[in-house]
Amino acid sequence: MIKINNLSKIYGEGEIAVKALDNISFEVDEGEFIAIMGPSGSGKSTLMNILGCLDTPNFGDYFLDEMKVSELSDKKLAKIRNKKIGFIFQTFNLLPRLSAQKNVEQPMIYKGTTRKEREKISKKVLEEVGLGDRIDHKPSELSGGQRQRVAIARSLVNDPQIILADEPTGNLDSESEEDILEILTGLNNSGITIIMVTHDKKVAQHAERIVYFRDGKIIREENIKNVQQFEFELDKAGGGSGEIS
Amino acid sequence: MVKFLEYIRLALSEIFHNKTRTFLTLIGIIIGISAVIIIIFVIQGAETYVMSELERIAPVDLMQVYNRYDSKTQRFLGQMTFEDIDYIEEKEKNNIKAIAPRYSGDGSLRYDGKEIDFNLITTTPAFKEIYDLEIAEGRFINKLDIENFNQVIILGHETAENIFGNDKAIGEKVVLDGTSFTVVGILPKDYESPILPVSINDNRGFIPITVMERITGTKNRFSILVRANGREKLPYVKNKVMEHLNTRHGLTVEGKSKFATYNMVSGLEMVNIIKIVLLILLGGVASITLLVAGIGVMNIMLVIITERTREIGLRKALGANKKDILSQFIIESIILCFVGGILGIFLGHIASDFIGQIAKNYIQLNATVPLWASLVSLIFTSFVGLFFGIYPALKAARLNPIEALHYE
Repeated sequence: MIKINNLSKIYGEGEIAVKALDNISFEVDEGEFIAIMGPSGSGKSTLMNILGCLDTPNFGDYFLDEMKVSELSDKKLAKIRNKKIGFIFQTFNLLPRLSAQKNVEQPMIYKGTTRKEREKISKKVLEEVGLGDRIDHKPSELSGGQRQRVAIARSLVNDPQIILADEPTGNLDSESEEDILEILTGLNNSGITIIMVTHDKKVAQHAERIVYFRDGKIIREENIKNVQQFEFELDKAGGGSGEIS
Repeated sequence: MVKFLEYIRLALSEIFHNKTRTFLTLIGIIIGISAVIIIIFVIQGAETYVMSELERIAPVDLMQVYNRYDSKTQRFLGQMTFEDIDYIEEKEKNNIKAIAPRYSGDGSLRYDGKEIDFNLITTTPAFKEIYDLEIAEGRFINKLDIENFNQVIILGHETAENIFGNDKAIGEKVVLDGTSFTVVGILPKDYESPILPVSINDNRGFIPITVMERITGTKNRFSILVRANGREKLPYVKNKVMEHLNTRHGLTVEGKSKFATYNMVSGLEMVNIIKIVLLILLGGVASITLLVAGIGVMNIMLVIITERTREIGLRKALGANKKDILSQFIIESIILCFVGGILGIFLGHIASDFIGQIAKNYIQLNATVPLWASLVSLIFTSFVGLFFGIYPALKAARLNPIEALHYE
């Protein structure tokens, strides 16, 4: 579903040019749960931005569903972000003036969904992430974990194929972290491809595959499933039990 | 459409969330628009006031034709005759209500050893129709008086009272500059004709114009009063009358008419010119105020966009394209100004009411703020919002989503 060939992203010019991504290639199949790890400045955020159609590479190709993303117009990219991709951020990025429900409705506005339909869908999705009783709360009236659940609900309303999560648990306590990872795993089980950036090894264990970045290059890939099974006894937190309903 | 409704809702929530800032931003617009409303109110009030004053002086469908006078030769260029009057009356009978000659002067009246000065008007029976004159006792000049040179006089109420006191006046003989006249009619007391200057209404008299001509030995010294069949016909009647007179009397050697007209329409035109000048001034003041106010709005929109950079980045990530962001902020700017417009109209109405109340003590200011003024104001402020919102909104639309998302 995602295919990247010899992709490079360079910031600046000449002497001060920084290679954020240096000739990387990799693929993601539909339904995968991938964790991207690496120190800051390793290029993982840049990759996420390119995958999210927010940025374009200088060299190389990015194919999303057979579409060559670098050739698409700004308008078309906005449409892809709107319909195919759901974003989850470390800092939640909720609009402070709007209720949880209104926040969740935002992506549907750009899709052109009617108000009635928006209210119905947003309510349903908020119930799915366990916030059915909080739909009228402003972000400031919610805990960190709840906020991130609102953000997840927001990422889901247009039925995306991919969820891009940038340090989704970075600002959360361990309990909320569990909740969020459980939800993400559940979403993955329902068929959504998830790509998650994290610096926390424990969090990364929830993925099926971990991609390690350093200096703009992929230095290692690790298939987790076996490891996970191996560590199951030690780490109860790991796992794909996350049924959400 | 779905989007636009949502942008409006978002804009309203932003605007009302930050009430103090909204208000401070909008002060310029509020003052500008309320000034527009007040000025329109005052212009309207002044116009109706001047119009009603003009109506009081003379019917606005009335015009006066007079002989032009050459100050070099000290002679009239032309002299209108009774035949001219008959001719015009016949030719334009469908367009004019009445036509009458008028020659006036001051006279002194003697009776029983008393003598008073008063204003004398010499004319024909048609004069009564020209000025909608009312008679309290007796009658006005009639056709027979004109034809037979009857020495009759109609007196104002005050004149009659000065001379006769409470005694009966009708039928009495008075002496006017040495000639004896019989009183046949009296005007009502405190007669306020809608047209004759009030102060001399009562203190005047009327005699047949033919009698005056015979006594003084003059001829054709009068001017002519023509009352058209309605105000809108006056310009037409004016042209026709001049046309007839020019045909009958020819032009001067310079090719100009020997006659000239004066009418209240000239006054009306004056009012219109003043009105236009005031409107231009108003437009200037309003434009400058709203320009300054608009720049204030642009400034605050730039601040808002900087403050909400992350929101813009987020919206782009969620699927907003450039047009969506552009629309959102232009709509916010328009609505911001629209709210200012509404507040300005509101304030303008209150102030106008207040001015109207104060003015009541001096003149009758019969004016309301017309609906169009409010509508035009709203359209205009919205336009200000649109115009001054474009640049900030373009700036927002062009933001790089990644940088915007990570803006602190």
